[in-house]
Amino acid sequence: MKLHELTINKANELLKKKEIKSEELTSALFNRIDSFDGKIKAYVTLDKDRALEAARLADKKADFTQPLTGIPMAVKDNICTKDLKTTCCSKMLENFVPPYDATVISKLKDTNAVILGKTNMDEFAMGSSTESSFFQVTKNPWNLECVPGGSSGGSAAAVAADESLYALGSDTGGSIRQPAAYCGVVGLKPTYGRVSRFGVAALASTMDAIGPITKDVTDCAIVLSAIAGIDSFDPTSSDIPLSDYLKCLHDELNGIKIGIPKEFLDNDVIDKDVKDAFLNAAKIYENLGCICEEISLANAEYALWAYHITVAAESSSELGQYDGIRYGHRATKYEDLKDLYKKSRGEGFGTEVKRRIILGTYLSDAQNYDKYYLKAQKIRTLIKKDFENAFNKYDLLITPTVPTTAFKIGEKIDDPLKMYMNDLYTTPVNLAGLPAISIPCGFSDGLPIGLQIIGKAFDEASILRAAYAFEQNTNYHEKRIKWEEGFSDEL
Amino acid sequence: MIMDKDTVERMADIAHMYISEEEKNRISKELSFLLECFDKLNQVDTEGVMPTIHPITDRNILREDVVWESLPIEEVLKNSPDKDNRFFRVPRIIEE
Amino acid sequence: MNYETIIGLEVHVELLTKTKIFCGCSTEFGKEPNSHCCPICLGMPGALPLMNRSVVEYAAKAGLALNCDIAELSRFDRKNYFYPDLPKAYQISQYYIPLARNGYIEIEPNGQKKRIGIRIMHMEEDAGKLIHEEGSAYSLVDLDRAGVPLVEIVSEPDMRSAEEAWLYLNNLKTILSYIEVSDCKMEEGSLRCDINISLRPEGSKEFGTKVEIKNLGSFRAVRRAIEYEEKRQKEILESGGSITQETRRWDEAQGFTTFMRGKVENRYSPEPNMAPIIIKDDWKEEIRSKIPELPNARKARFMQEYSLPEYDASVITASKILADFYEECVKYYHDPKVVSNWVMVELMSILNETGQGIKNLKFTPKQLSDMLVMIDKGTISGKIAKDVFRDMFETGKSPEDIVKEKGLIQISDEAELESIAQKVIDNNPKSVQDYKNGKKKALGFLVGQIMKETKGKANPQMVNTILIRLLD
Repeated sequence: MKLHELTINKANELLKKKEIKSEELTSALFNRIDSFDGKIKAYVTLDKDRALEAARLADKKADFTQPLTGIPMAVKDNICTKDLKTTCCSKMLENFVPPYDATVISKLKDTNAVILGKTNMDEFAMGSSTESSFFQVTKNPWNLECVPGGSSGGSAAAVAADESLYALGSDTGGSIRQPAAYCGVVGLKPTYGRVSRFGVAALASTMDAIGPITKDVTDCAIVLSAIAGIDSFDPTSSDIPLSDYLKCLHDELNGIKIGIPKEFLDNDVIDKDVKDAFLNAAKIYENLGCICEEISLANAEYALWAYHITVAAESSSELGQYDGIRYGHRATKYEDLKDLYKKSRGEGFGTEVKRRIILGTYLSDAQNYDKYYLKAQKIRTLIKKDFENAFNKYDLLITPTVPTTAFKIGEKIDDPLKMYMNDLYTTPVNLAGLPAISIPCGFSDGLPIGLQIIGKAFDEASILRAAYAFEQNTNYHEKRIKWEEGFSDEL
Repeated sequence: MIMDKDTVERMADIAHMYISEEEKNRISKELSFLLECFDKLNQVDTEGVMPTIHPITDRNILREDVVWESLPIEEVLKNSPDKDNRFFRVPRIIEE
Repeated sequence: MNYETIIGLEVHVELLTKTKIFCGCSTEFGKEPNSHCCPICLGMPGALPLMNRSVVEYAAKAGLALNCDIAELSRFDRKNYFYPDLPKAYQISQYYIPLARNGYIEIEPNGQKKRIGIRIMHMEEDAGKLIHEEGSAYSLVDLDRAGVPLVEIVSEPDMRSAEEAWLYLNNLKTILSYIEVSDCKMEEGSLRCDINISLRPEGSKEFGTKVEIKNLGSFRAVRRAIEYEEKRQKEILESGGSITQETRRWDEAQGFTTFMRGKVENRYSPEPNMAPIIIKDDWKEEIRSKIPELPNARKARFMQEYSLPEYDASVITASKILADFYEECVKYYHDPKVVSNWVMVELMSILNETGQGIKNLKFTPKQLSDMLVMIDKGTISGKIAKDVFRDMFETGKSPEDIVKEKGLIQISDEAELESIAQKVIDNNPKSVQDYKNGKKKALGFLVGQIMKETKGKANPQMVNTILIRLLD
C-alpha cells in the first residue's frame, strides 16, 4: 500500500511500530499533492515547511499513543489557523492571517497533528458545489467534469484523491455530508454543540457544525474523539460527556430500530440509482438484524425553505463584520466612509454571497421578521418535534444523503432550485441540531452515492456503530478511483 | 412575492454593498423565485408554536471576571488595510 | 397657551468590572490605544461572545437598587448597523427581553416627593472610540472601549422640568455610586445621557412629538439643553408650526441644539450564540444582600439616629464614602452634630479647595474623633484645632503628634493665665476703664490680647472667668 492511501488508523499502527516516520508520510502527501492537485484543485494554501517541521517534531517525540499524532491532514479554509492564511475562499479575506487558532485546530495541534494546508470551499460556505470559491473550481476526483459538492468540496476531494489522510469541514445545511457523498468518503456532522465553533467563520450560528471527512468510519471516530467536547470559548458547546467512539464501533447492531422517512423517497427529485442504492442499504441493515420501517417526517418538505430563511437572516448579520477596516479587503479609492464600506464589500463579496446578504437583510427587516424569520423558526420547532417523535420509536433514521450524484461543473449554478433540492435531505438535520453521517453506499455511472444516518442528539455513538457495521459488510469504501490519463499514480 | 430591483438596491444599500446592474437583475430574479418558495411555509399551521431561535434556553453560561492577556498591538493591526501608529484608519468622518 | 414639558432620559452607565462584557480584555482606562483588544472584541471570524458574570451581578444590583423587577430570564439581541467603532457591525444589547423593568427613582422637587418611573434597564456593550484630529483627512479608531459593559436606563416620560431631570440624574448617580457598580463620571464618559423632550398644551393627555437630544457632557448641559429646547419647541408651536421627530445635538459652547439626523429604524435580530441570563430567586436575593443602605434610607436614619438636621443628613449621605467616614467618626465621638459640623464645614471646604477626593484622605475617622475629644478635654482650643486639622489633612499625622510636635497644647494653668491676664490689664488701662463703665465689648478686646500673647493657646473659657474675676 502506498503511503498516501493509508487510513489514519493504519498509519498510526505503522508509526507506532516505527515502520514509517511522520516526515516520510508527510512528504509522500506533498508529493501526491504536487502531482494531483494541479488537476483536482482541492487546496488553496499549502503549509509545507511548518507541516514538515510538525512531522519531524512528532517523530522526535515518538509517542503515537494519540492516534492523530504525526498524521497529515487538511483544513477547510473557514477554520482559523494561527499565522496561516484563512480566506473563506473570498476576495474579502484573501490576505487574512488570523492571530489565533480555532479550538478544533488547537486540539489537533496539541496532539501534534500535521496540517498540510487549507482546502477550497464555496465562498463563506455559501453553496453546494464549491464553485462559488473566489479562487478556483475543485474537481470531483471520480469524474473531473463534476463538482465535488460543497461547501466543504476541497476537504472531501482532498481525502478522496488521497491528498490528505483526513480533513475538517463545516456543515450548516449539508456542507460536510453532501461533498462526502459526492466524493465517496465518510463525512460526519456532529450534534450542534458537540464540537466547538470558536474560530470558525460563522455562516449561521444556530446551525454551524464542524466535523471530520475521512476515508472510513474508524477514522471518523478517531477524529471526532479528538475534536469533540466542551470549550470555554464557545458558549453553545455542550458539557454532555463524550462516548468512547472507537469502542462503540464494535457494539452489536442486532435489534436496532431504523426509521426511513418516506417523504424523502416518494418525490420527483430523487435519481433512480440513488433510490435503488438506498433501498439496497436498507436491506443490508435488515440482514444485519435491524428493524427498518417507514416513518413520516410531516414537516420535512418545509425544512428546506425554513433553512434558507434562517441561513440568510443569520448570515447577513454575521457577515457585517467584513468591512475592510480592521482586516479584509478594502477598496483602493473611496469618497467617504459609506463609499468605503460599499466599495470594499461590493468588491470583496461574490455574487452568491451578495445575493444571500440581500435576502437576509430583506428577511430581517422589521416588517418581514414575523412573516419569514419567526415563521421559519416555528416550523423549525415542528421539525424538531417530528424528529423527537421518530426517535421515541427508532434509534436511527436513514435517508439518501443527496437525491442525486455529483452534477457537472457549471450545470446547476445557474439553476438555484436544482441547487436547493440538493440540500433536501440534509437541511432538516441542521434545523434540528442532530448528528448525521454520510457513508458510501453505491455508485451510479462511476459516481459515488451516499447513505445518511441520522441519530439522536449527542448520540454519535449509535451512528458510528451503524455506519461501521455497514462498512464491514460492504466494500464501497474500498473502491479506488481509476485515474484518467495525465495523472501519475506512481511516485 | 416579487423582489423588484429597487428593493434589491435598497437592501444592498442597507447592507453597505455596491452591486452591479447585472447582479441586481440576477438577484432580483432569483430572490423573487425564492420568496415564492418561502410562501409555501404559509401552508403550515404554526398557531401556538414556540419558535426555536436559541440553541440554549435553560441555563446560564457565564465567564468569571478575570483579565486575560490581550493581543499585542502588532497582532491587532497586522491585518488592517490602513493604519496609523496604533490606530485603525478610516476616511475622516463628518461628525453626525 | 401654556405648555407642559414632558421629559424622559436614557442614561448609559459604564459598569466597573475588571474585564469587558464578552471577553477577558481589561476595561482599564487611559492605556495606549488598542492595547485591550482580542479576536472577540475586534470582531474577527469565528469569535463568540463570552458573557461576564460580574456584569450580570452589577446590572442586577443596579436594577434592584432602582426598584425594578428583575426578569427571571432575559436575552441578548443584536442591533445591526455599520460604523467603524462597532467591530462586529452589530451591538449586542437586550431588546426583546431586557434584564429589568418597572423601577423608579424618588426625587423631591420643591420639597414634594415624586417618583420617576424607570421603564427598562438592560445590559449592552459599548462601542470603540473615534478620534478626529484637527485638519486631518482621516479618523482614527481605538477599540479599547469596544465591549466595555454598560447598562442603559430608560426612564418613563415622567419629568416635567429641567430641575426634575437634574434631580433624577443626581439621585441616579448617587445610587449607582453607592452600590459601587459605576463611578458615574460624566466627564470621563462613564455616564452618558440622552434627553427625550416634547411639549403639550397644559391639561392635554396626549404626548406631543418628541425630539431626542444627544451629546450632553455634564449635568449642567442637560439642564441647559432642556431649557433651550423647551423654548425652541414652544416658539415653533406658538407660531403655528409643528415639531418633527428628530435627533438634535447639544452645542455646549454656543448653548443651542442643532439638527443631527431624522428618525431611523433600528434593525434588531436575536443574538444566537448566547445562553439566556437566568436569575432565580436565590441568586437575586444574594445580589440584593450586597446592596448597602441606599442614600434616601440612610438620610432618614441619620436624621433619626443622630438627630441631624435634614440639610446635614442630605449633604453627608450624598456620597457613600463621606457618609461611611461620618459614621465611623460618630463611633468614637459622642456628639454627632459636632462631627457633622466638622465634616460639612472644615472637611468639605478643604476638599473643595484642594480638589482632592475623599477617597484618598490621609487621616482616619478615628483621628478626627480623637481631635474632637482633645478639644473637649481642653487639650487644644477650637481655634487651634482648625490648624491641627489642616495639618492632619496634609500629613496624615495623628492629632496628638501634631499638637506635641508643634507645642500647641492649650494653657489651662490657672496661675499662668492669671499672671498673663494681670499683665494685659496693666497694659490696657483704657479698655479696663471702658469695661468698668459698662462697655461689655471691651472684655472681648482684652480676651483677644491674652490670646495674642499666648499665640492662641490660652483656654478661652478660663481666660474669660479669670478676666472677669480680676476686673471685678
